[in-house]
Amino acid sequence: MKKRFLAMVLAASMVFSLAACGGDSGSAQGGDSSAADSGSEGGSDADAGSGNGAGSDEAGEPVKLVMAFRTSGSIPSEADIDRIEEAVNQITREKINAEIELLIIQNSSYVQQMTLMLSGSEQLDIMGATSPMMASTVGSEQIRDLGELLDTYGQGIKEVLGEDVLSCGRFEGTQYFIPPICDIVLGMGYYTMRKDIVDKYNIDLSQVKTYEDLTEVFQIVHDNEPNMNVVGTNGAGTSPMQYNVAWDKLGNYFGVLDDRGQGELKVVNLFETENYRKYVDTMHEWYTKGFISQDITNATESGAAQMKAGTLFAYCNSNKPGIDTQEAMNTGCEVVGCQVLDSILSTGNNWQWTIPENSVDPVKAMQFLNLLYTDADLLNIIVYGIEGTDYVMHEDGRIGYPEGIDATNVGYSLSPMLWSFGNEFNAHVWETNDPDVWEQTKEWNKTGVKSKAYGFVFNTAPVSNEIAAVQNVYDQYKMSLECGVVDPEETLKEMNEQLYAAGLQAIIDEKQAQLDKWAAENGVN
Amino acid sequence: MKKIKGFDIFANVFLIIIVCYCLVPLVLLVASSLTSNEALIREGYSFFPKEFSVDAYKYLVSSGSQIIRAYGMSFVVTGLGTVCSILLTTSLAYAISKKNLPGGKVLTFLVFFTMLFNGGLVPTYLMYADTFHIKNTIWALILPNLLVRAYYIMLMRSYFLNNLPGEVLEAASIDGATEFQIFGKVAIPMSKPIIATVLMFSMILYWNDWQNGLYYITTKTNLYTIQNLLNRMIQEIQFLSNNAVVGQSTSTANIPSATVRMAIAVVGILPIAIVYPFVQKNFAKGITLGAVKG
Repeated sequence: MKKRFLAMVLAASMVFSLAACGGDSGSAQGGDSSAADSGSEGGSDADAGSGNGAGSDEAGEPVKLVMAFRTSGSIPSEADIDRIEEAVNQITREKINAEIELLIIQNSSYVQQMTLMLSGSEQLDIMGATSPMMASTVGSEQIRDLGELLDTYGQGIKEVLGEDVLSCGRFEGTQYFIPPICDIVLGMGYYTMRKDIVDKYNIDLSQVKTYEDLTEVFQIVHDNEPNMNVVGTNGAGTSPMQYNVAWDKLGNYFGVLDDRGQGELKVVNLFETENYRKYVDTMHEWYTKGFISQDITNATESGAAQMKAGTLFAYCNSNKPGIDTQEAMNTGCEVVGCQVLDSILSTGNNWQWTIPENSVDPVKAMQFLNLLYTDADLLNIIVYGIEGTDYVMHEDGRIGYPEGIDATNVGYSLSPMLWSFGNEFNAHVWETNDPDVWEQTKEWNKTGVKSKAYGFVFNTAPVSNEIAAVQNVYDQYKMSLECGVVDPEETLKEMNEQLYAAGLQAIIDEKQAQLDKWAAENGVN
Repeated sequence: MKKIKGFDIFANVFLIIIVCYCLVPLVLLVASSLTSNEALIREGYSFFPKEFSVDAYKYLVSSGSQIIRAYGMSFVVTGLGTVCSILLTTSLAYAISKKNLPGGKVLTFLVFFTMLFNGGLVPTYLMYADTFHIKNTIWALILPNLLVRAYYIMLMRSYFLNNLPGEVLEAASIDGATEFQIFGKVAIPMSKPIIATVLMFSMILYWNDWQNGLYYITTKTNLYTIQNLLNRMIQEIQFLSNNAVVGQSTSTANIPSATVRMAIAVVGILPIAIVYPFVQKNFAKGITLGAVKG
């Protein structure tokens, strides 16, 4: 009997020790937990009447807002983020009586982290959404309809973006998202080349206008530099196709508008178009002529790294103002480039701002977004940090790192993500760019061939299974086909058969239906 | 006799091949982490560095106190986690190895059940983040999934069942030992091999764990363990060396991107590689003894 009792005590003690651990952590987190609790209550209040937050809070304690976004660069340390938050709050307390907590998440884990946070009741007031997150967050009702909020509190945003760009944030007619304004036109078919070699063989790049011209240039280099791969991809293990687009991909590549969306609004299979065929044929020609590395499909180094190591002459890219300076920094050598396809303007939705259901105060969140798009000081603090510590202003108005600081040891800098914060034209110009780079970019944005379907956002939800199946098939062929390793003649036919078997037609039909509806609503034909 | 000798030769050759399979990649890893970045990209991976260079390690060191801090964090988490884990696992396993424990069958079933089924990522996350509020605390690195592993409990339970003769425990209790004394002075000392085994498992698990850091440590980056830090550094380097955009800023072409990845892997496995031999001798014993032997 005694034995039994003791065994039970033993078991019980174990259970208690577990509970104690849980208790400890709970109390250690006291502040946060109460914030989260009130957060969920606040959220439901705000649901009932989204207006009640603003009026009552104006004089009281500032509202604490959580803003989540990704960066692909360094995540600043806690102390540095605190410092920036304090500077940001000085502005926001005064202007909208709110405080901001920055939640900066690594690019690679961003989607998963956000999915987890949205699934619970954690406070999240302002969130950046990547394109795969759009259909899913709308579908599971995790984010809010911003239409009214935008009309009431987002006038600044409307002015900055203009109707055209703003329409890219509409999902089936509802304004769920707010896109950023940056270099929205993509200069397709841009090839970055080593300047010393271009000069050495007296190549005149101004005369290079087509793939055929490029082939001649590459031939010269190939003949004279036998130890060098002539052309490669930009990112390691990514297809060069994304830089050689001559169509409107309409969200994903399954079902596109041919000829950059200039013709009738008819969704067709990309892999049966002349333009795609022309691209893969060119790549295959380059591959058979030995311009492209045998290992291209499983390269582990980016084009820039290979160029730096001296094994590569050119890689493809998308053109924009300042591209050569940028690539020179990546490669560590002087580069020039030429563009062989038209610049295009189609719906770009790889990053947009939104306000989740978990927001404690959507009104304040929208006011903050409005501030982000209109207040240059706020933007500069969030992107570049504090003047004097994280950057210094030069005499010509451009900025650079202070003495002894560079990209590897700067305390706070999100400059790589500048474009994503809404209105990059408000930001300081970095010293490596032309002082008028934003003017150039604004001009650049007017140059592209604008797709008729600009502003159309494809809702992937109704055909998500087909998309997954088709994507699987496509992934099998993608690299070898689009890097020119295999002969397009047979492979393309084989791939198309399998794509149709996996349900490509259903995607195309769905896309066509959505596009027709969108066109009717927006008076496009 | 001769037959056995033949078998010995075969076994040795076979095992040497296996060892090579394990060891060669490791050697290649270390060798390439000591090669200069350009040579690595140009010439490919090689066992003998074409151009010897410690730039990759220099880069790691230059990132400063972060690495030391993260190493410290890893040791604290691994130490604390392993000790808690062993305490809980042994006491629970001992309890349910007792056939006369009231409710013992239910307990055993519950443990066994969690070995086969779990809640999945999202419910688990919600539990820890919204109910226990361990997000951004050190507990996030210690509690989830790691502290009590059903597999270890079952492993230990079967060891207790098979290797602790009932007579010995009975003798202790006749001599007047209380249940706690029996557990502490008889059962535990007799179970060293299995405890060492679980200790090692648990240590490796804690040391290698990076997912909990990824999910639950979002703002308190001071809590990063070495695995999280290294993971983050890899991302950053990939970024820094691939993706300058307008607005970004410096000559990033000088980071040895390829070799740093190798160096990071070396740094990550070093401590475990050092500890392993010391616990190893108990390792095999612990697992095999648990199986049959009455």
